[in-house]
Amino acid sequence: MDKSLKAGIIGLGDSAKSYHLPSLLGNKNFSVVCGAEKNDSRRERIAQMFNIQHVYPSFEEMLGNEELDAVYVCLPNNLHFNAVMAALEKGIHVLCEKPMGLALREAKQMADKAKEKNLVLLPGYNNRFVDNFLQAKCMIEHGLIGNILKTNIFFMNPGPFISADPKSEWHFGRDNGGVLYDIGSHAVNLFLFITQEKIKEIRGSARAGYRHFDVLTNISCSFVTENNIIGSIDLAWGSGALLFELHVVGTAGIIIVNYNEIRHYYFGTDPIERFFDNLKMAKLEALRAIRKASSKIKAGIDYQRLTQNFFDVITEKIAPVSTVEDALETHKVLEKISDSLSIFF
Amino acid sequence: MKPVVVVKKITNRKNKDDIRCAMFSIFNTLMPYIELQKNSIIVTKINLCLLIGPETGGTVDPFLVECLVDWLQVNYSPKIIYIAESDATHLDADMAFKILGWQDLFNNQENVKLLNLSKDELVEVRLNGKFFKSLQMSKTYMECDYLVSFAKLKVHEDTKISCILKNQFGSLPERLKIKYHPWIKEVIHDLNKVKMPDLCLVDGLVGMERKGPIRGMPKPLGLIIAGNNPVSTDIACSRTMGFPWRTVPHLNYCYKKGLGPAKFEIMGNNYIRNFRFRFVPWYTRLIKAGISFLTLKRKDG
Repeated sequence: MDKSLKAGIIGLGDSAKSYHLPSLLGNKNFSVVCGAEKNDSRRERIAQMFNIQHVYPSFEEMLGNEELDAVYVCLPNNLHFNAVMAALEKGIHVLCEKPMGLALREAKQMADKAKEKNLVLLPGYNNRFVDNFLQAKCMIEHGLIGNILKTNIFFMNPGPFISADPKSEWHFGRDNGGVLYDIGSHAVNLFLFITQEKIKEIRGSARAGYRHFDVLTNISCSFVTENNIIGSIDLAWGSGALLFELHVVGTAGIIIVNYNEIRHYYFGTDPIERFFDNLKMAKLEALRAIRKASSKIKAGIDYQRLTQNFFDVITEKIAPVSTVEDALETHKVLEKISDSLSIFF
Repeated sequence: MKPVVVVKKITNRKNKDDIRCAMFSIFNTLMPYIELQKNSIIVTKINLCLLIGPETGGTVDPFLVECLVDWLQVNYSPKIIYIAESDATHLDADMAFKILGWQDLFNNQENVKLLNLSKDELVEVRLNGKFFKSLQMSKTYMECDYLVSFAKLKVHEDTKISCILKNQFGSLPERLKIKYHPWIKEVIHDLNKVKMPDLCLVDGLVGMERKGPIRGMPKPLGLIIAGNNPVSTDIACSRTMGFPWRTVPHLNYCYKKGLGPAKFEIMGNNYIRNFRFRFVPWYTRLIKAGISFLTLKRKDG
């Protein structure tokens, strides 16, 4: 008898196609039984690509016709709320792509609904499952860099037009949050996860860089936390390369971490030690690349772990790695940033 | 006095109540083995080598010294307790007391004072030492009734470990103590002989490995080690760090010269575990040895 959870996907765009569907299909604990997508050609294309039995033009129809255990909400940010609330109302566990709605008020309502119904609502902050970021968190918790003095977070990528399906223009809508809610949410959430610090005050500057679109594309902020740790967050769409990097400066050392490497500097670090560290890292990267290339599951390990954690939280009631509390705290910070911005066009 | 060592591991090294309980438990266990009288003048020689906090593994945690002072006040009503350190190559002790928070710690205790050994009145001490025949030492330090040495559990690039015996090197009032490094074993021996610590405490809440005593990496352990003899305590420290104590030059030397026994009793219900401290990387040591060799050759040439 098939004991896997029946899952549906709402929104068959880029995040569903590239990340969630591959990780769901590679996980024996889930069977993807249906999907919902407004765009007709995309709906048919994805259904065929991933062999999804039933696809619907709206999530309302899907939720009305299917008996599901779990649902993934992979819609544009401003559409999260209605889909999540509808799924929770039907008694279905939800994994909602970040940033879990566009307003703190909405995110709180979703969280309250999930609590009221005793259901799992998992925010899709996948970076919490990336090996290097987990290692950095461990090192900081263990005291390897002493007390944190300062943190700098950089998240730059080519932007939604290059990395996403060109037909999907929702990122350019003013009300969809721009760079702040797209990658800023990742940056803030990861900061909360790694440092366990809460941001008290933050202010920044921004630029709307795409002509004819009133959407923020570059943001730079400074903040201070409740424990007087200062730092900065820099976000940009339109950069020539992808960079998601954290610098955590402590009284006993510095950690610089991104997807590909983690560097730990302490007072006595010398060039030869760096050379041997680089060799070790190159070896690790090579092993990861081989593992990825030879894996049958095409989703990254972070999304695979996110999916597995979703299953474990539903069935074994273990604590989630990506928590609703931190998702709400992320929203608070994003709103503080938004309120503080001086905008340059 | 029977040589004893107490080792205590604190599960949650960030919980101040747990730390306080552990410290008091150690002191109470050691109480029958330390000859301390009421109303004494006590000097506590701490380890502050640089302007870095205890979380780096480099300096003694002020909270631990606070626990010591509280226990002494309750049990022995001391006349006065001095928290002492001297100036060093990279350190002004008075600056360290201010910046590292020591000055604010004992504000409401009139009988607790900070003492810069380099700025105290000096007395000449005659000594049949291995290096010194006579020494200029701090008057307060030499005339105290009871000496507590409070060290850090650290690796040392030059001496292998820096615990109780090495902490006493800092009792020399001179600032540029680095000039004694070529004869470090003998100097450490003499400074422990001229005034041997009566109570030895080692802060291993966060130790230091790699390029200690100042450029190393923190080694968070949650350990406190205490004893009533510097050689025995350092042997316990060395075993904890995973270094055979005979390979620690100054420790082996002090033992051979009769400063303390190698056999001691471990009190309480803790045992000495090897925490495998990492020493200076082999390639760094090779380069350092190479540079020393070339420097010597150039001087001879």
